[in-house]
Amino acid sequence: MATVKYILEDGSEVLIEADVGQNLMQLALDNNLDGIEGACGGSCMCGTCHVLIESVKGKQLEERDEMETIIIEMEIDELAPPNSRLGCQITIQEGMESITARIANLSNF
Amino acid sequence: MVKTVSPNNNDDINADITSHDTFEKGFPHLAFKRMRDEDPCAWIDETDGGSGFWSVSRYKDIKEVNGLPKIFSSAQGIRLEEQSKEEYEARKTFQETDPPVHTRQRMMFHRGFTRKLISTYEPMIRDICNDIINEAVDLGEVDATKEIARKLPMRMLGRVVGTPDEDAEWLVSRGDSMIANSDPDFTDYVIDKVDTDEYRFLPFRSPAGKEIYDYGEKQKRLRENHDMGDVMSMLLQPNKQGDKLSDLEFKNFFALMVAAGNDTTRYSMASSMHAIANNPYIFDCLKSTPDDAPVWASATEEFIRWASPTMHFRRTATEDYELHGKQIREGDKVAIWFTSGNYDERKFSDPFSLILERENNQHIAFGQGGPHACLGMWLARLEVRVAMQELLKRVSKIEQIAPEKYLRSNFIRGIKNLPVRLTSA
Repeated sequence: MATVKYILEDGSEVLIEADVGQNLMQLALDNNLDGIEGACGGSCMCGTCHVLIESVKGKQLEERDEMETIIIEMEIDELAPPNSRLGCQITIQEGMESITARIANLSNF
Repeated sequence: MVKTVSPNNNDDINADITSHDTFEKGFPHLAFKRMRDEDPCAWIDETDGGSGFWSVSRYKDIKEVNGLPKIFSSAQGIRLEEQSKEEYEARKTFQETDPPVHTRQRMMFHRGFTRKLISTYEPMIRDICNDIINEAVDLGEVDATKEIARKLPMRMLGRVVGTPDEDAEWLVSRGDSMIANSDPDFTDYVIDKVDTDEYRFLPFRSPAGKEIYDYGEKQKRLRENHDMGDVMSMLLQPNKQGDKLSDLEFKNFFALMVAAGNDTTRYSMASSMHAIANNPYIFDCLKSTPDDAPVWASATEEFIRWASPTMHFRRTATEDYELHGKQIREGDKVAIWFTSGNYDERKFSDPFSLILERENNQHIAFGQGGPHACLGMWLARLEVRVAMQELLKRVSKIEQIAPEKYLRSNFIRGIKNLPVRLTSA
């Protein structure tokens, strides 16, 4: 179990308790959060679940793999910072306490 | 903003889902509902000599299987047809590969189909719609599939990838021969009725595959030392890592693009027009909606869920796997029925209603949730939305004037003839 804080595009914040194994895209969709489309269903193919990770407490995230990086470069921005991530690729793991993710879709990046 | 309409429906609750003939009578919704309710991982015997397959019909299970490519492989074919290793090797596109082989090619092709790039084509696509829809409206009584839905996708795709407009009709006809290889209206080489053994090394086991190979080769040569500024030129260039597509990879991709890039969008448009023609409420609502209103985005997703033109993909188990108490064995074929998943009551509220403002519409018409999610999904969404917008601007009325006819295929679902009367606005 970890607490995920989403910062929405209008600046409001939503706190959601997430189970181990859930990913940030599906969690946002299940809670009807604006700004996350998940158009490819979590296939790491579209960039519509893009977030900026602002902080992680407890077990840290693994770095982006090559495919996630390529999709972010092609769909979001070639110069996207390292904390630019796809929500579908971030899965809650044992030892994670909290994650703060700012929703940053194509239109406002 | 809800309106219930009857989906095209074959009412046989015990319909034979292996038979192409079944789907010529419409999608057997009741048979799939029965499977979802009573036997969501059903063993289906094949009557054509095939080994049989598991039929996965619930949304959640389809996503599970689709998301496990190591266990449910695409590398032994994605259609139920049995193939020898040699046939598979000669015909395989990146659809018939698994990660990491698939990932490499997919990323090469993805360059030409990003959301950012595709969104720049909207004005051009609107222009093409104007031309074709104006011609259809001038005719008045038309087969809307033939005169609108069949013409638009290849013209649009051709402009994007770089094939000449004048070749579009020929390319569509070749694409039809390949992917609609079970319907005598589209090919003389009907796969389950004619001996197609000599074509077994060609895409879709069709002689049209050879013609498309040759055409693709010609297009490639034209771009060898000359950047034509189109998607084909881009794809033929090495990527940032210096990796380049092989000749066979390019030819198979070209064949796949001509086949799959045409018919699925065509049948999404045909299904959308069928819904609009038969429901004045949908017609009135969308006709009065400006192009940039959010309801067009939700309506487009709903039209695509409603159409679900790719009915299934086949996977092959690489290890034993248990699903709903059934033991899937290594080597077994597994069909994941996207169309059934898109009408699953467990996932979608009121799935048999076409709801223009359906929220959080997580349909799987593009195979979402697995590595093979549709490469052209942004183009398809754009094409369906713009085509319906432009059609509604030009007509004051659309009436269906004779029963529609369905494609003879257990793979692609589509209204192949939609007779309508278009009254000019």
